[in-house]
Amino acid sequence: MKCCGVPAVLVVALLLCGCSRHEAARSDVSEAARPSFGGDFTLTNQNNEPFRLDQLRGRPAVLFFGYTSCPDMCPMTMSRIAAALKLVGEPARQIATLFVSVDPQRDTPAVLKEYVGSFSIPVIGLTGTPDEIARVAAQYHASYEVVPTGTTNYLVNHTSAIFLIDREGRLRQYFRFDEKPETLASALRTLLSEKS
Amino acid sequence: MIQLIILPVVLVLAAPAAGALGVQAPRATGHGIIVRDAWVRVSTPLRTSSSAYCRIENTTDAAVALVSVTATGAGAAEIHTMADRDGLMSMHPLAKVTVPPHGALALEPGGMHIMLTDIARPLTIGATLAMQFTFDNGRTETVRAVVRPLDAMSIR
Repeated sequence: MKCCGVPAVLVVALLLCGCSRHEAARSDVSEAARPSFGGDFTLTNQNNEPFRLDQLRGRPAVLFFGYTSCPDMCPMTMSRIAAALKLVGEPARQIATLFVSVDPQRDTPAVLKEYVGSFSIPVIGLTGTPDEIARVAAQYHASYEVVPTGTTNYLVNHTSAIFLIDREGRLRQYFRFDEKPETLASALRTLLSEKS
Repeated sequence: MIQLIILPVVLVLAAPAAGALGVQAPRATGHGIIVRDAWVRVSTPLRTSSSAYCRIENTTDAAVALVSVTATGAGAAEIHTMADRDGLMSMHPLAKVTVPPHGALALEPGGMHIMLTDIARPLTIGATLAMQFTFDNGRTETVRAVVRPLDAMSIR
């Protein structure tokens, strides 16, 4: 399926005002919108090492905001990403999959390490201080909010978009979490076909 | 009625073969509620929450509501549904979910599911988890949910 073609400026505006309905939740991100949408960041990976997005230069990336205690949506989204990468086949080895936690209180590097190790594809788990996470989320216009329960078993509402980043580190597209793997795979093949 | 009485016997006999094929035999008790294809995602020592799924069939003439779930070794099991609020995904507990007469209800990824928390021992792939489903007619069904990979989308 084709992207919806909503002008990027409008998309950004919709996201900023929190009005990103389905129609706008899958779109291209134009060069004009990029200064305020996406971009480099530094967080901590599952091995407790600093991770900079620019370390991936030359490789496309898939980025998703979630949390390891998320019972349903995050595993399902990762499943769709894994299915898309499998459709891409051998060239998908070049693509990095990034899982950015929006629950830094519980998602320590050790927790992330167990989590990403449970998937059938290589995943880079990323966490940081609450401020660092908030900054990256703001860059990608991602929202999240803790639902207090008074226990450690709280839920976190969060943006569900799947972000695609090109070899140059530029945010190029985003899709709904339940996008068909075939559609994701097609977009990833496009990014792979581009020269770095 | 005859069919309902005979069915559990057939299922017991068929269970080992079905398990070998990765297909879970439905649990039927002869009173019209069948919980089948129950599965649960893996958990780990540090990630002690998970989610479980199944299909509930109601062969009776009356609606039946699932009102509570327990799982052996889990601190809590809640029926949850998912909502999309302008791209912000959230989950909410449900007090009950109704299975229509002669109908079925699917608890599946992206929709209603059972959220498990405080799982005492990690759920490992291939193991099973005993779960009890209680309905508003007073019946409780016990099934063994198959533990599947974290990114599984169904029991198979």
